[in-house]
Amino acid sequence: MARTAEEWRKRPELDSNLIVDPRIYTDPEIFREEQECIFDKSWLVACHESEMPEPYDFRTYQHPGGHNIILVRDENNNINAMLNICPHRGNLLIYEPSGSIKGASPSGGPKRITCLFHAWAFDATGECVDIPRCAEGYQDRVKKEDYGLRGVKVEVGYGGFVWVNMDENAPTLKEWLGGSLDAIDDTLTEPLEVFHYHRAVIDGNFKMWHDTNSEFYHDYMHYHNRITGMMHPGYWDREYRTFEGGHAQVTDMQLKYESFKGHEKRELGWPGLAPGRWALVDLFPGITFNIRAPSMRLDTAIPLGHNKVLVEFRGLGLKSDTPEERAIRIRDHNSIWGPFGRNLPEDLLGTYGQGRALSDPTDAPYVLHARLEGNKIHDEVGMRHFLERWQELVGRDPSDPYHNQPRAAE
Amino acid sequence: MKVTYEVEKAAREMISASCDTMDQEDFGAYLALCAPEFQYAIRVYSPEIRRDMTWLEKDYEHMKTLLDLLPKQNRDRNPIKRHISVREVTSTNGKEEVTVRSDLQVYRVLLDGGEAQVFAIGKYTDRIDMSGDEPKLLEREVRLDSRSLGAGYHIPF
Ligand code: FES
Ligand SMILES: [Fe+2]
Repeated sequence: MARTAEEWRKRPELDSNLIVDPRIYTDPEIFREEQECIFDKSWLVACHESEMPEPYDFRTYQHPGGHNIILVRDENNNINAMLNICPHRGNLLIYEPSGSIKGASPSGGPKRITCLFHAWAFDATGECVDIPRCAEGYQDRVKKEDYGLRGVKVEVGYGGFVWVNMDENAPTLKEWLGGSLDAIDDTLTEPLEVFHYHRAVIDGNFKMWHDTNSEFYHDYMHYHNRITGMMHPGYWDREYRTFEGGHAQVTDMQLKYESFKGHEKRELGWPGLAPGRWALVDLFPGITFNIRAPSMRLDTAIPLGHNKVLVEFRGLGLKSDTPEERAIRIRDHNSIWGPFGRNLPEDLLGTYGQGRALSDPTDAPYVLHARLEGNKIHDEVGMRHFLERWQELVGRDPSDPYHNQPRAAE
Repeated sequence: MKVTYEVEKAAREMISASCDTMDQEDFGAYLALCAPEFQYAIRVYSPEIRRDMTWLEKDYEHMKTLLDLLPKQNRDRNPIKRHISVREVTSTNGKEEVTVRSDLQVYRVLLDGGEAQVFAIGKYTDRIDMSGDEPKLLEREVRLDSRSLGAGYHIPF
């Protein structure tokens, strides 16, 4: 029999870390707190260095804290990060997602970022190098030396990814990762190259997407994973390892691709991984390193609001790939993880469905993060570990975010 | 071969049939339009990474497997409609074969309420064997202009 409204909203008799009040996924005020307490303090992947291979190449990044960021490679091959805002009157400096400032632009000379509005110009490190008719207009009240761009902390590493952090007092990337990526560092030894990029925008909360990446119980949704993984003994030995900072790793297994009709034979491996093996790390607050030989996928979740998330999907191979090897990695990646792949649309439908079903905060049930299987593959420790860190930073208990204030419908 | 009105008409009708059969999810009828050496690809250029990408690549056998396994897949059930406008039919190097370029628009019609949404735009480049009784599709390249497909889609365009 279906439950009454009162029964539906009754708190389950489970330990508080095993249940979640779903309003943490749907409350706009909680999202504003997350922008400030989480996204403006976290190391986030803005892009991969292979997306800007030459000096003077640039790439833009839509930061989840609400900031527009430019990444520029300078003549010394250093990658610099700056806010995409002109200090004159606040125009956007770079409009395209990617390109080069090597040549002249309609408003200015080569090797400069020139604001198209009034032609203030900046070099690849963010220094202001020209203010047109400066002395005539500002006499000596405004000097270009004082009007550089706002720099953003940046590090390149762990496979050549470009990481940014809005917090100038943030710990180093290594400290922030808490050893989580060191656990798979043998898979990140060789120079990588991005071959795939696409986005999905879903009406749901970013944590719903990261939850999906942080639990494997949902393999019931994927015919592909049931057949190549769950039906085989090594699957049940896979284990979650948690790291300080809300990060988690899922240990490796050998996949039985030959069980999936129509799969190409897998002979190509990945550095540190034999053919068909799988390494996975979920980073707080929304990045997933996912290497299933012969290809790698990286997800970055960029919330656009409390109920909208943009997920960037990248596929990577090795810079040293022959054209034949690259073609195998691309086919493999996209047959599972591309926009027409077997798994990715299923995962995204899950997030869409949660976003839609939980969007009514007045009638939200409690949801369960309660599977305890000794940290093995169907244990939900990945999601719980994430929310422990979340609670530290946001200062709200996920099972009781309003400190026993009556629920909206009561 | 010479591209007569009849040749062009036969090619256009074959391409229309390939769209209709896919729209109706009559995959057996779709595959019956394809030659055994059929090659299918969806390609897209990304201005973000400034690279050409291949989003799907299948030969006849792998396309058949993909289509056969669809009943086991959880998927977006809102149907899509493929609209084409044939732009150009040219013959291929003296062979009994034509190459046809068409504009493609894919609409999605929501099951709940029937709203039509533009789902994707792009082009088909088809190579068609005209030597037999019926035209057979040798190769289809779907070149997408749009790159945002929401959750994605399990059935090729
Ligand atoms: S706003 Fe950039 S030069 Fe004026
Ligand atoms: Fe999944």
